Amino acid sequence: MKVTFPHMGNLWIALKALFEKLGHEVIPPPPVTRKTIELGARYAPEFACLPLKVNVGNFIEGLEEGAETIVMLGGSGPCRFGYYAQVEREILKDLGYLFDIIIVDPPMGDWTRFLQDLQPLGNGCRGREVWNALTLVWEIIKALDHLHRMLLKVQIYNHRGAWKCYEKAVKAITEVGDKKLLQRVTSESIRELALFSEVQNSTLAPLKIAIVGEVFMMWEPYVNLDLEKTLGGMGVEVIRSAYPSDWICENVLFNPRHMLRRLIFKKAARPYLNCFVGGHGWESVGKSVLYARKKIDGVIHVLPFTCMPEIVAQSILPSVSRDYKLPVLTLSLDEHSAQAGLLTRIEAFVDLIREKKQVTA
Amino acid sequence: MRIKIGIPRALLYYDYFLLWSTFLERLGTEIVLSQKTNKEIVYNGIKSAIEETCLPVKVFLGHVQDLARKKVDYIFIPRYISVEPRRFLCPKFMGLPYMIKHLLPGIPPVLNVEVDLRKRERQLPVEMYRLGKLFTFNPWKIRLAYKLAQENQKSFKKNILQGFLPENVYFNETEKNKALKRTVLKNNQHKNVLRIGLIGHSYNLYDEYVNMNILNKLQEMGVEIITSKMFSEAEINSGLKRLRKDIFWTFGKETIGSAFYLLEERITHGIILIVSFACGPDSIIMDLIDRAYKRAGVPCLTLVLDEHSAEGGVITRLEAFIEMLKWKEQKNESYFSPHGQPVDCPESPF
Repeated sequence: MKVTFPHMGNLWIALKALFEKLGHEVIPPPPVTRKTIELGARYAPEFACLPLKVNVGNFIEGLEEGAETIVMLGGSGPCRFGYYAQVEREILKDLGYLFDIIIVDPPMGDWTRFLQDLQPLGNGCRGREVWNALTLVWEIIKALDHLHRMLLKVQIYNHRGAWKCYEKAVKAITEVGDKKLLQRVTSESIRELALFSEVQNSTLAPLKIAIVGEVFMMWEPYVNLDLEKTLGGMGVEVIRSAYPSDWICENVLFNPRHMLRRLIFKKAARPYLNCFVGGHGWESVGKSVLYARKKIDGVIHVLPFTCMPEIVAQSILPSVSRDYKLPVLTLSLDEHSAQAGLLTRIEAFVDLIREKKQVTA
Repeated sequence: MRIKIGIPRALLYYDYFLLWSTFLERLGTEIVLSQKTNKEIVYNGIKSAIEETCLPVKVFLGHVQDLARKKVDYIFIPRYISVEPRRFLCPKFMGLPYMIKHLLPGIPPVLNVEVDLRKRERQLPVEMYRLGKLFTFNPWKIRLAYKLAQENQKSFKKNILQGFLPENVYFNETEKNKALKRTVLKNNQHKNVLRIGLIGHSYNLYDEYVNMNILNKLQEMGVEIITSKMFSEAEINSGLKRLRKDIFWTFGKETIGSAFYLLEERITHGIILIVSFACGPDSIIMDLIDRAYKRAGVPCLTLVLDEHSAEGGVITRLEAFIEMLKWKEQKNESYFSPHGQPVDCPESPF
């Protein structure tokens, strides 16, 4: 099978490794560009959210490059994401592409159906091989997340150097085939990245800005117009509120530490929003409160235009902002968002926070 | 003095008003409704909401402000998570009471009830009992009120299925002969009358201001209408068979089920989809319906409503759609472009 899948930040590296280990030919879609988004916006429903449009663009480009099978995640609502794959299949069918689509819906208690859905992906591999592939993927995801966390910490000291080093590491991880090599590459890159923080100027207390919101917009650098890199260039320490490994810990592995963390943010959100609203709306509110308590200087809330859960969060965040005196900037992005406009807003936001910090200090 | 409870005339008012009003009135409270949607309400709603919220929620905010001005003691805003097993409502309904609280500080206290029938059916009576205890100490009174409310809701559903408008049922104006022609449609009698399916959410279909009185306009044009609210569970389920994955929104199920049922049975000559701009579930559902109709070659018109929609434009589009349907029927040919396609025929009719 020639497999392709949608992009979401660095996750394609892990997925590529997974499907290659399972013996498929993998054709990852070309990186998200203007063209991807234009293709998606042309064929996807008008006021669907941006992730759907990017997905459609990815699939079209992937199929053009020769992929035959699309692998896509499903869901159980109430966020639209759970029905993405269904509408994407119809769009591509109407465009005349010939393809298979494998939709991985959560089991919802029906494990036989779940395993049946997954069977073609297994490609007749034995349990041990599947296990090895999965553990390798898990290690890759963890390594990538760790490197990214470090990058965000050190990029303020040497922006270009840190990014160069990070990109080199990511490229190396793309090509690793086993855990030993992965470990070596990762530890080497970690050491290199750590060097940047050693030369830091200790008198400099950097501004800290946390990014909360919808995960696709947070993880895919092209659609959020390189928000983290831009902020880093302004000397701001960025904190990304969620990583793919966190999501897996919470929703697949049920890691107790992460479950506890969930309880903590739920408790923090209680006075503002005391219920699940789909997607990551609850997280956005709860984590903003937690960041405010941790004396983070500001929060940037990113969401795709028309995102339902985040609109609920967006309506509530002004109250959090008022109560904790926490500056919040909401960025609602879609295919029309342009770099220059965004840059102006971010610059203004950072300037205001810097001013505020100096006045209060 | 009786406690005044305000119910906004928006969103799920068009589905569950009778349930709540019967229950609350039986417990000795007075129900105050907000005005019918008008320019001022919409304006107030837009002013207080986040820009990219959908129109129905903005309208709801306007209604809440209207109630606040009417000096009610409580405003009744239930938190609907799910009204049937395995299905949700839109995430905005889930967060609605919280959104209201933060967007409109200083309104009267909100009576908060949670409706979540996703896992167990018994959740509703328990929750209603909790609500009832605020007004009376007598559990039998609550039980009686609950029973009556359920009965009224049932008969309301029956009336809606027959084609009465919700507001006419609420205020006992059913004799006003405003019923849409469900029975006629079913029997397929008048062959020469144009029949149209109106697919959308109840708060768009039945709010005359928001949809610019589309029901009346169509009726004046001599069209028979069936709305997506006028389908029984069985009919909707038979329509849903076309889907590969069960749909997890209740409204989505109703709209797509009824649209596919109409497509299968060919009861109507075409359908009109009424969508509010930026409606999350509908962005996907309506696209699926549109594609299915396009493939089958059945005419389908999508009307997207937002606070900027103008009546003139809507009328023009409706008239054009109806004219084309009539033309298609008279010629009895498939020259009609379903939607977004060029007319593909050997010899041009022009």
